[in-house]
Amino acid sequence: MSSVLVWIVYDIVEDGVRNRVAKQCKKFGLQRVQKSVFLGRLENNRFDELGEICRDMIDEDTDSVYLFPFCQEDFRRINVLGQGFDRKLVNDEILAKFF
Amino acid sequence: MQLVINTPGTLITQKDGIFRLKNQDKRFDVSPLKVESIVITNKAMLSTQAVALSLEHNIDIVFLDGYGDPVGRVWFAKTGSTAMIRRRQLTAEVNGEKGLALVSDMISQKLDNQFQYLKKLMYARPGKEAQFEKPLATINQSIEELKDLEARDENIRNRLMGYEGTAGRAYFQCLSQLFPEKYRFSGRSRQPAKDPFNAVLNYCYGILYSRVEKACILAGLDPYVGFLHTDNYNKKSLVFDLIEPFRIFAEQSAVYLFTGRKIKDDYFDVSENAVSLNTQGKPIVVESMNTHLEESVRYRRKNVKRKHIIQHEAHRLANILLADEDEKRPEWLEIKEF
Repeated sequence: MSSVLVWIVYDIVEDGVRNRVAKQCKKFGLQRVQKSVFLGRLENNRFDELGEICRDMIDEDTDSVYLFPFCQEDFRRINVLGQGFDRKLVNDEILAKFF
Repeated sequence: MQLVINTPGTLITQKDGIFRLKNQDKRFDVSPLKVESIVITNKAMLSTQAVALSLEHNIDIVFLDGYGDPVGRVWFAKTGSTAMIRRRQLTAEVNGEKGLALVSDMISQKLDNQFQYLKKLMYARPGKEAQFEKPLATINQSIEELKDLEARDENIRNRLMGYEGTAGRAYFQCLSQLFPEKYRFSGRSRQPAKDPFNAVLNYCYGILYSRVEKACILAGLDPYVGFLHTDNYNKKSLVFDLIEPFRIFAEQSAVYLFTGRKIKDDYFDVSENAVSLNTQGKPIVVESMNTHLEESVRYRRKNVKRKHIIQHEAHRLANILLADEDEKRPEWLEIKEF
């Protein structure tokens, strides 16, 4: 199954809706990198699925959700200042997580 | 990813469809879509909802004992197998011929792996060819004798195991010579391991056992009905048979850790006559094994990850059992990585 790296960025007015979108992103295995920004790797059809789920939840007159697919090359060039995310975790490179 | 729980007292729960691991003030959330299996090596608490969530996503929960051997697992209520495969498996075992032909294929693949691996190690050590000569010859002889075995031979089981043993001794002796002085060992030892190498190797085999068992179950094979290792009460005979061609994966990872000098004395607990991996050593070994299984090798004209080869072969075994008597049997296994 081919997969793609995605940024999900949203601006949502209602608290309830915003929380539900965030929960969906987590459920799909994305990592929260900022309050309204998620990042991670999705299978191609999951990418479409998440888009549709978000479309159903938001109010299209006031809210916005961006789903940005991007490539490995761009991922390597990401520059993080301050508190960053775990690159390996986001990129599905962790084979065994010890806890 | 594989979730390995190795902190005692970890709480595994579920929140909004996501696994949540908690231990005092440490917390880790992970989506079931990212998890392949949950391996519990220590005391932990597991909520029924978390179990249900993992069953829903085909994630198996495996419990390991102190040696890293799987003692149990949580699996779906459905076996996913057709009754037909099981019936064929039983007849192949009772009538013998097909089952024993399969087994001698598996064993000769195993010996061939040993042979090729030693050769590969030899080429990487120019000037030291002499110490490889004898073991290579011994293994080669066992391979040749195996070819001549008649399926009707009454002692076929004993003879198979005999050749396997002779080759194995030569193989491990040769490996030992390649190690740093203090880690050399004299032969295999299981429960308990008598030296660090055997402790690491047993742990790697343990990981492999659970993978092979899972592959059997997914392919609809009954892990308890074997061909060479005939069934004893509660013994996973088929797993012991099917693991033979794949043992090389564990051996490669273990040998690399030692020859690559990745092993430290601190990784082991040493008691009077037993050596075992401790909580410092285990992650190193698991990491090495996982990385190795994750690598792609050439397999049946395709690039396939080693871990998937196991599943492919289990499915193939099931198909061979289902095929009619006179159908031509494909080659057992062609791992082209040497």
